[in-house]
Amino acid sequence: MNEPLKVALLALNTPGYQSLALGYLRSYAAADSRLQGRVAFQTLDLTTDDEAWWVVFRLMELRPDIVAISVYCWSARSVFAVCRILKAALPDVRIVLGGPEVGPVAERVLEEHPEVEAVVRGEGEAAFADLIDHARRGRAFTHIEGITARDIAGNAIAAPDRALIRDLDDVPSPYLCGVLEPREGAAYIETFRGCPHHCAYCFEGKGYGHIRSFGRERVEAEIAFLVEEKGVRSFTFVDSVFNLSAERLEWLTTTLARYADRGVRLHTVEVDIERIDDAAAEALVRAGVVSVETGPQSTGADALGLCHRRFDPVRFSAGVDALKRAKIKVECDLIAGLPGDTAESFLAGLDFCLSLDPGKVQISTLHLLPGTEFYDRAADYGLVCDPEPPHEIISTPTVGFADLRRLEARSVYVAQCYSARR
Amino acid sequence: MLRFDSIRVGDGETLHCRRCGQSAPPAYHATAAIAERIRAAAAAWEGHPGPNIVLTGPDPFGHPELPALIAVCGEAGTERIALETDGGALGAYRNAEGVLRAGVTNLRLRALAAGPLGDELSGHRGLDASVRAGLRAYLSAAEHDDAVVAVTALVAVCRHNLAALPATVASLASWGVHAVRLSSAAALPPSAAAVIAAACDTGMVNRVWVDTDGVLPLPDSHRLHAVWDRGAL
Repeated sequence: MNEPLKVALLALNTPGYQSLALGYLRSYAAADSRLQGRVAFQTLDLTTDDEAWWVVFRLMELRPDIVAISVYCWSARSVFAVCRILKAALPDVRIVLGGPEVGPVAERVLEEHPEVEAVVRGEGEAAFADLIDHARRGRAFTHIEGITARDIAGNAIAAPDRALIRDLDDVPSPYLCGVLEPREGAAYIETFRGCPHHCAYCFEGKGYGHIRSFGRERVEAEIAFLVEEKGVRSFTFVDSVFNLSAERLEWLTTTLARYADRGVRLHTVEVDIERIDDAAAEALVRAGVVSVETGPQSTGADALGLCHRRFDPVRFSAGVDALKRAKIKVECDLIAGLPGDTAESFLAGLDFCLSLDPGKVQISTLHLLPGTEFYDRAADYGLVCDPEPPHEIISTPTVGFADLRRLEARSVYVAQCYSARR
Repeated sequence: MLRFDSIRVGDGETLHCRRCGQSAPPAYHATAAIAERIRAAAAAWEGHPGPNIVLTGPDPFGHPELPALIAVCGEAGTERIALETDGGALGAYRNAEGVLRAGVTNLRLRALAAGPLGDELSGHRGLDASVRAGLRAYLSAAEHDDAVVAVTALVAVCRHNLAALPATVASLASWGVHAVRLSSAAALPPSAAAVIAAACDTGMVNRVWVDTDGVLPLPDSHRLHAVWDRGAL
């Protein structure tokens, strides 16, 4: 009997986080009849704090044939360091990358990182399972839909895009099939993929184009299993919008309410706050929601226009007020460095957020993420960013480098003073 | 952006540049009168977020009933209580931990300069070391209690501490302050703009925000360091 192909799945998460993506990749591949009994998977869910040499040490112990790594903007530098050391230490290993930081720029990744053999573009589960099957059979990766891979000469070949998985329930729940264990009583839940918004700076929609949902019975089963069997007491929903529709909000909050009564809580769900009224806020309370995260990202008309974001200050304020009445903490997010914003309009946005007294104001700096409109059209918009991940904005036509850093420093201080309360 | 109502606990000042001249000795107001002003300010507070009150004037630590005044702030529903202090008393008698646990989450630390120059200008030998120890105690207590606090150093700029301003900002940053606010204490020569800009830049490279009161000269390149609303942060 042949030795099974050994596949190591690696993610370098922000400390305190866990990779749901690896769980999906593994649960989907494990359910593929072509791979059953022929492939052995190991998952290494580590953090960006783990030193590259130590990560390679852990990988080497697994003696993998293939190492598949999930890459985000925050982990890319660490991942590339791991790839470089790993390939030198284990020349026969085949390194495959996937995730939003590499998928949209697959050819460039292969050009710049000779140790990487293939990049999975877009939704990864089906393409990755095919890739593993091709590896098992000794076939080249270059014709697998959704994959960009090297040919024998080392040239990057992009196969056609892969159609999205039509029925998301074809992706087995990584919790229900036992490949992902919740940590410290907390778990991630995804109920749909895609985003109803198309913000020019964001890759949340990942090019999915439309919303696809997991089956409600499956989501309910996941939640019940995690609470009843695994003792989960805290959920993080990775959905781009928790209140996608009133009907869906009703279903989800009713589902969660029976566990909220037993102390299960939801922290920092993303909401479209302009559609939150008192009834929606009460539903969130019943579901155990403790805090929500929302925009406005900017209040400047020019920046909002370029971002393709809607913003109605009256409706926004009404949403915050409804949540505050329901005792739910609100985190208002602002992005410094959006095209169209000036120093004055950014500070006006900060002033607006503070005037709402939401509970928390979070300032971040624009990152030009591969696959987003701002990344693709950076030159058109006059945006200059660090070419190295996480691609932080350096300057815009309306705010120069030094003033951007000043805005960051000032707003961080103001947010600190705001948070410093009894 | 974030407004604080100032409540004076007395008349006169304590920390000032001795080379610039003398100031009247501190005379503290009666507790009942201050408490009344605190309650009135909190009751009249409009808009969000708040109410926020800073106890100022001569060093509040010199007031014999400071704990009672802080308690009044809390009872009046003050969301952010700030003390504007010379800092010397912060390191004594576990004052730093005491005020933090009483609800003082915003500290405004008056300073003239760091190190020996600060002691010399203030006329208080050992003030610099005492402030540092007190601030360290305050920040340690906040970390221990998992409390968010904000510490702002207030530096009154005159020709005697002007040249040392960048070094002062660097020292204050190393002490752990979150921002430095520079205000004009006396007329300054035109060349002051370059030094004040350098102090702002020193803050930037040390990850400490530096702002100015809008009176101090600043080159246009540094206009974001000029605070637009003097009553706000």
